[in-house]
Amino acid sequence: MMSMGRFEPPLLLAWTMVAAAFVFGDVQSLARTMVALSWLAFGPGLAFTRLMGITDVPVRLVLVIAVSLGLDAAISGVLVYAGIPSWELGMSVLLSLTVAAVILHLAPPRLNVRLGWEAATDVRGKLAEEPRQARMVEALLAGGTLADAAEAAGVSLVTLRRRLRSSQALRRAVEVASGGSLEDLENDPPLRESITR
Amino acid sequence: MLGDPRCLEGSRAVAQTAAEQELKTAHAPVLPTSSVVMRLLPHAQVWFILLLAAALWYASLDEVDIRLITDIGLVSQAPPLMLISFGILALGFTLSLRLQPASTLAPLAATLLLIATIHGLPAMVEDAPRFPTAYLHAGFTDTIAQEGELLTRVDARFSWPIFFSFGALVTQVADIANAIELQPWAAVVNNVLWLGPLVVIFGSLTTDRRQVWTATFLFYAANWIGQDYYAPQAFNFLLYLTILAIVLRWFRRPVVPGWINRVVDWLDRRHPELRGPMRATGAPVPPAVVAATPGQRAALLGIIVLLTGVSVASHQLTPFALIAAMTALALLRRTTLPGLPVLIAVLVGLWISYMTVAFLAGHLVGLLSDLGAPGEAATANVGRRLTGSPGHVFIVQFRLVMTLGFWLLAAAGAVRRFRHGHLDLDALALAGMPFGLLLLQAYGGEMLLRIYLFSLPFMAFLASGLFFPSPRRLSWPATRAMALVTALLLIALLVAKHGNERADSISADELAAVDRVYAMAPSQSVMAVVNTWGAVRYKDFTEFRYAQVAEHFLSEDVEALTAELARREAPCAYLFFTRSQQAAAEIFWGYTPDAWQRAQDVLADSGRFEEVLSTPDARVLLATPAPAACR
Repeated sequence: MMSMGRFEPPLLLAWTMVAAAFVFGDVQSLARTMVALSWLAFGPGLAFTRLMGITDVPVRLVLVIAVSLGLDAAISGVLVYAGIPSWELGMSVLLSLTVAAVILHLAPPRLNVRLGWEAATDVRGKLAEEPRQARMVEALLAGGTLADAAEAAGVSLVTLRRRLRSSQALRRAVEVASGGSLEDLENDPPLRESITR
Repeated sequence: MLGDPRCLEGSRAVAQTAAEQELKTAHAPVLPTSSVVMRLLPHAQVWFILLLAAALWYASLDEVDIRLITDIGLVSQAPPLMLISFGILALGFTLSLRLQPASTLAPLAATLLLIATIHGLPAMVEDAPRFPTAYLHAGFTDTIAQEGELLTRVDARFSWPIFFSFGALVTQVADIANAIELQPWAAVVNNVLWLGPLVVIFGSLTTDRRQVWTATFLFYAANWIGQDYYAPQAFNFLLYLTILAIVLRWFRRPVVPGWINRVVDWLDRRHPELRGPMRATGAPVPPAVVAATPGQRAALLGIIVLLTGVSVASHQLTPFALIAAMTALALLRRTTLPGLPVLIAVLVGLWISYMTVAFLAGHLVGLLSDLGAPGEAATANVGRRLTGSPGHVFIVQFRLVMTLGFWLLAAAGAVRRFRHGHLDLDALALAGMPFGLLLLQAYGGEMLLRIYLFSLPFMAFLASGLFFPSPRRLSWPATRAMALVTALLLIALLVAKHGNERADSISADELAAVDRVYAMAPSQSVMAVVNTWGAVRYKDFTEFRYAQVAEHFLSEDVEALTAELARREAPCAYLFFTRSQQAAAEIFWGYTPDAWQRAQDVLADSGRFEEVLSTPDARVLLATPAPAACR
């Protein structure tokens, strides 16, 4: 589910519908318990973290669980304090939020409904993958050259240069790795040379 | 150390070596079948060792009789085979870190095995959910589920109710009759939930995956605190770890403040032997801060605010630990979110000011009395725990020694890493800052336990530095030492974590007795207990009234006890004596089995009580005279 790419939204929607059917159909079986517990633990978080464009699966899993449980807890608390402690309402709100987040993700990008959260995808191809970016930044942080960074990321130096020119996100990553601004970085002759060449 | 050119030099060398190795791997020629087998053999060996450990542990379970455990807890019933399985597990984990190419699955499997075999052990050998406080929490959850009410004047925890309302939602949506059904596997589930954030945190502190897994394994091997049952603190520890994981991964400043550099340089000049020739050998490459777009950062910040809000509304202590941790990072300028501690403090202040008024009205003086009195807190946390039966005193002393020993291990690891040119500033700050909580209050004598828990991930990380100060391969002597240390830790964990199990375990017979009295008792009857160990109060919290009569019972003062029950003006008053209550009285207060039995007999023979239920693990007396409906 975590890395099923374009199949994830329809699968998540299907899972959400199955969970809703079990819960509101008042099915009394172990299957309902398993489906409901797993959906409460993963469903809402999967929908919302997908909007964030985080591709590192283990890291996303951490956020998925935290967001799911956080939303479940927050909504249950709000309902109790609002004097309407209804689990049907709580579940309905969670289902609605999940479906809304999935639809938001499926909406055409030109509607710009993703709030720019997937700006990282302006880094195309292999470099769009977070682990590669992390390895690249690690190499730079260790004092490596741009060639080291490209090698660590598993792309050619030409590709990295091109992406650095076109991608603000990547330039930002390089800035963070250097611990200063891009201006500082550009004062470093070898790097400046390799970026601007 | 970051910013230290000497360190960068070493790091560059390491990066280069790593890159060279990667290139070699990428361009490696196709190996003949025999070479492939030789490469896979160590992997197969590790998996065989882990499977063997699991099989031996499972086979040893038959020999554990929970009814025969003594005051030193589960270890008194642990067969030698079980202890051997822990040693084999430690060996399997250590060997998994030597695998080439590095394996993630093997150390992960070893860690999960540790969680299942030690933290999940009670669930395998006990016939009912354990731990009295879990029953009380289930009662709170049941109250919210059935009535939707917050009984803020009955118990302080209703002023921080989000965990219980969450539990109510979960039980109703998943069609679970009572939250206590979640308890048997709560320890395993909570520990597994903590695993993800822990790996992300350690991955943000080092790029050496072996150190990441060692720190993770050590965390579970040293976590004897037992705050992993069905409780707000377990849920909040997940929130605490997740928030730290987000901050350390995405909002960390990889820059060491100038004053720390100056201190290190001064140390280098004055005490060059501290780091000596090892400083140039190359520390592990400092991990990168993962780049994020402004939108991603905003979303991550939103998650932090969501999780903080839930934490503030569900637990009294965790938000203060968060404030301490974030303040440490902000003061050292190690985070790009220096305002986060202020934000959390504002949320905590608002919650306490507006949502806990009912609780504060009666407890403010008591809460403030411990403020800034660490001596009192230390006495409450250590001195007052060193009482009870000889077996229990041994367990408390064992826990103290284990705690201090693990902290020493962490200190040694930090020094070893420093000598190899690496200053683990974030880990040091986050390991030390929770101790500031001692200034707040004693927290019912549990503050030191919680401080240990909050600092444990970072203590474990520092301790892991003892074995992996540099990226070099683990030598065989170091492998043997690590296997030995982790094996001893696992056995120590069994002793320390399950040391109170004689009182903490609840038998199915006790639970059935409580259910039978619940079924026969008219509404608003009094359920009196000698102490809070037991299953009473796990459901129908508002249907009955509860009383604790330890003082009158143990002094065998029948008149005072009957007067205390009569004062409640309840239709019926039931007095529970259960196996777990007796065990708690003997373990924690040093009562003898004879004294317990004699006090029961005095009550039963006084003519003021009538026995309505007697089972092997429970005896229930009814105060007389009582209407027929009470029986």
